[in-house]
Amino acid sequence: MISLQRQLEFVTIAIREHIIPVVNDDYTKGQCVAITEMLMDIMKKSDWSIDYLSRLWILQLDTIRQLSEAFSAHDAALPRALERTTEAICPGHALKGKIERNDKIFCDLLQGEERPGRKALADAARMILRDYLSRQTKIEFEFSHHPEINEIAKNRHG
Amino acid sequence: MVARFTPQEITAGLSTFIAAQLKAPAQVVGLIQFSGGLSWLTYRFELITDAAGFGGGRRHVLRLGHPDGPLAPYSAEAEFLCLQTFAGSDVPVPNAHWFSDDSAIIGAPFLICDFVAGDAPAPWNLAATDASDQAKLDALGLDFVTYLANIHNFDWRMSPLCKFAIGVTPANATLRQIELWEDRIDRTALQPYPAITDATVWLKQKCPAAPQLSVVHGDYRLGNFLQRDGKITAVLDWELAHIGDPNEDLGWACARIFTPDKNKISGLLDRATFFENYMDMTGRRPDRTSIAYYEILTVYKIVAVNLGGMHNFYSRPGVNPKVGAIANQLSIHLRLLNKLVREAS
Repeated sequence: MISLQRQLEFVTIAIREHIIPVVNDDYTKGQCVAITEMLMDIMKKSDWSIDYLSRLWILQLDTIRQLSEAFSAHDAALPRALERTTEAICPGHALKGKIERNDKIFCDLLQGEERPGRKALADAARMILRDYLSRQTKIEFEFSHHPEINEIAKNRHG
Repeated sequence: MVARFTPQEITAGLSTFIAAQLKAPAQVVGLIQFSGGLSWLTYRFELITDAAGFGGGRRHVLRLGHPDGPLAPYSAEAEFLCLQTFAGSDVPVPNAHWFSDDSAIIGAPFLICDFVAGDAPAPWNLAATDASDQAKLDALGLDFVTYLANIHNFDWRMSPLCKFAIGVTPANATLRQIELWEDRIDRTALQPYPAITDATVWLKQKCPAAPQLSVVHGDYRLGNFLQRDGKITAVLDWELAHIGDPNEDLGWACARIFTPDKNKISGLLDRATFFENYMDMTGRRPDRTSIAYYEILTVYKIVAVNLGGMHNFYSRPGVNPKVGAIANQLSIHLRLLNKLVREAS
């Protein structure tokens, strides 16, 4: 996982190393430095959005419940490592870590070899996870800024 | 460490390299960086030398595989061999002179070829190029399908490109591509992505056998050719070329993520015209099922490119912010990949 602080730090460094050195007037250079200073301040106070994480977490809990029912119906045990609980006050980065650990187990389930006599369970799990993926990618889409590639791609030098 | 390429360092390193190749004094002058992609930095330059075919104001091009690019580390070999192989054929390419994957020379793998006049229309500026009127766009579209057919018709078996065919069979050609890109994803993903795992499993299960083994350009689309006045003057960007299923290039060319007009392939030709022309030129009917499959593989590869950019930006402080920002298309492409896999399942 890349922490949000790390992401902001790297954006700040990119401005300092790529943009500020080629700004020719001191006034604009000062403005750029001011922006990086403000980003550093935001970095100290920021964590992942609770709205973003809670939607992913609730979706995962619902998916795990469905998987649990499917595994029980086939007399099979759900992977124990799946995270289902949080502390009363759970920092964003800790919840993000739980979500990613669950996603890793979902990956394992999706690519797991079918055991003899377990095709029906594998199919059921895949169907549940496909529904999860549809909803999860929609949430990620909604919580991402979509870059203006045509503007970014303009890069004539010299 | 973040790579920096100063014109002075490139000029010095390149001059020494070219002089050694020509076995004659040579000085690079007038190095200018073009606009272009994040993977390969492209420069124009001239040479002061007495060596035949090089001095006298002739312009050359340097392509340099940036170590921060989304598919780094790069090799210039595939592109160089393709340019050499297709030189003088019915596929227009720049004349290539040298390449090296030794980063000690100018800091990154590179190749040197002749300059070819023309502009590179992109999905967002097609209307602004000198090919913007309909007659020229139609002519460009015809060139676009003609040169793809010529690439696929090319007999590579006696060419230098046969080195890329070792172990490749019609049955395993596409699986090898999936495994190559899966490996890239495994090396660069900064967190688990079950939507990618699901797509990997699906792509492997549904993997088609190639009807024949052809040269596959690997990135044949709007943006990767030069044109002048409605005629393609050079097919570029061969770094993903390999030996495989020609339908793979059709799926890539047809991918809706590369076109400004959803009804037209690369914004140039409607699908029916594109396929009719392709069939006339190759004698092969494009397999629509395979093409739909390869359109999904295309999105899978683009997801891998996004992950590579994200990995490189967040692995080392000070990487070009464009690498990180463009990688933020990941959520768009991941959602599309999931949608296409669900619809095809």
